[in-house]
Amino acid sequence: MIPDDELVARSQKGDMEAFTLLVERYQKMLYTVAYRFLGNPEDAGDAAQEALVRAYKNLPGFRGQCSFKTWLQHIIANVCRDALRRISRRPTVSLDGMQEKEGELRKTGIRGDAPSPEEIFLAREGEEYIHNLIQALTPEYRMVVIMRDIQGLSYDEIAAVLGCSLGTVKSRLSRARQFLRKHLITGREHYATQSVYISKGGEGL
Amino acid sequence: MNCNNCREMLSSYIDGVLTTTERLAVEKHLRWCDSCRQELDALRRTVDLLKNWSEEEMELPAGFSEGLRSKLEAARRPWYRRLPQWLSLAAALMIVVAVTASAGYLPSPFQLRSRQDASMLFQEKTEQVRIMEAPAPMVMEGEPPAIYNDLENKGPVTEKTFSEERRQPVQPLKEQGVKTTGQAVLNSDARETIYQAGSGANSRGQGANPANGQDQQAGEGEQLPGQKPPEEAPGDNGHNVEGEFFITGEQAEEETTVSPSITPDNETDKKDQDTPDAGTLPAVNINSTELQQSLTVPEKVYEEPETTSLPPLP
Repeated sequence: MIPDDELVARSQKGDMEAFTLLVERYQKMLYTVAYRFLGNPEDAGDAAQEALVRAYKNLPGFRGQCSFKTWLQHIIANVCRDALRRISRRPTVSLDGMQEKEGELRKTGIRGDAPSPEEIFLAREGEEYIHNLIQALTPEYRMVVIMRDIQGLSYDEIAAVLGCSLGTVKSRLSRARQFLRKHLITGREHYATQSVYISKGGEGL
Repeated sequence: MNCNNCREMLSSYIDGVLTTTERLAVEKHLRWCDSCRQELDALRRTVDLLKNWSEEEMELPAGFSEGLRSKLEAARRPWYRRLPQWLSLAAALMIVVAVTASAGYLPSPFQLRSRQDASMLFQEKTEQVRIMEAPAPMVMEGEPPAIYNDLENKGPVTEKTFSEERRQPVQPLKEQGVKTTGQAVLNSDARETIYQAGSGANSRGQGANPANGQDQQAGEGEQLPGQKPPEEAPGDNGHNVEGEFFITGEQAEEETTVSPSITPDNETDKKDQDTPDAGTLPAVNINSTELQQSLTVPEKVYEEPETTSLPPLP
């Protein structure tokens, strides 16, 4: 496999074929991340395309400060942030009120309480369940947790994308994780986590 | 540290972004608080769960690649090739802006001052009237293309002749005076509109700018075929269309004194004020310089916003 650096260099010289290879390499990653951010295939597809177009346009300015993949992660985060700001999403969970949280969760088809082990046992449902949980977060919490735990950006990078302070990133991330933890790993956590781990091919407990 | 404080910090503790003091405090609390240790464990597993879960990539939706290709194609085209679709709209907007903006303050100072000043304007007026009377059918015939050409060519002329005249005071003036009488016909009807439209075209930066002034005028002579024969022109200077705009110091001088000075550009103006010649003809010269100032200054003011407003358009 041709390394990214080489393909980037060739793309910067106008080699469209090289850029196409880069696109093929990362388009699914970008789409998946966008889907986590935005929650539906249409918006996610648009966002991933937009990110690749932005990458193409800004390619001359890419000097290898970070890996090309990380660079793309920044771009898709920015695109999705803009998209989230533009479109006000469906009702989401406010982490401030427990009651509101429960109500909203029922509305989006998720049990307010911990899911039954049977639900989690089914791998697809587990996937769907986490996705729905993340969609249940308000955009500001969702963005932080996706950027950190799914994209793997640093706190500083997240703060830069969101234009907020490091402290804000920390507290939002803490609350978002606690919310997810509450719904993923509860009293029946042994079943839940084990099953999801197994279904994901993880090492288990 | 109580449990609430601790739990708020666990997320940052996992990522190792606490300050040393905070970290030590959390660790100290964890040592004796069982429930917070469990919480830490649960949070860690949550984070791991998310990371594992996110590693799987989804399949692209149908039509993704096609959409991407067309978007990339659009982005590949350089900006000036994406321009045409905007250009016509932008140009139309520019003209509208130019007309409305200049209508406010361009005509009044020019017309007022120039009328007070020169008899040549009066001549121009009468000339125009005569022209209107005499070859009216011809004008009607020639009108549509003439107006069109005005948009394309005349705009640049206003600017061109202005500077051109200053550089070559004597000879070109006569030619110009003769040949451009035709324009007066048009302008007697639609002077303002044409000028402003012309300046709009001018601001677009296109048109026949590179052509020199004389070519330009010759071209205009051709645009209005069968117009006034030269000898009917009542005065060399009482003349062109934008007659008001061309009453430069040199012109005025030419009429009143025969000054052969072919000094370039601004030096002529300075001489007007400095030399004793200028002193002997105070009325004319003062007026002419004044005029020139009044002409040049608004011209600048008027052009400035357009040139600055150009770049953002594409």
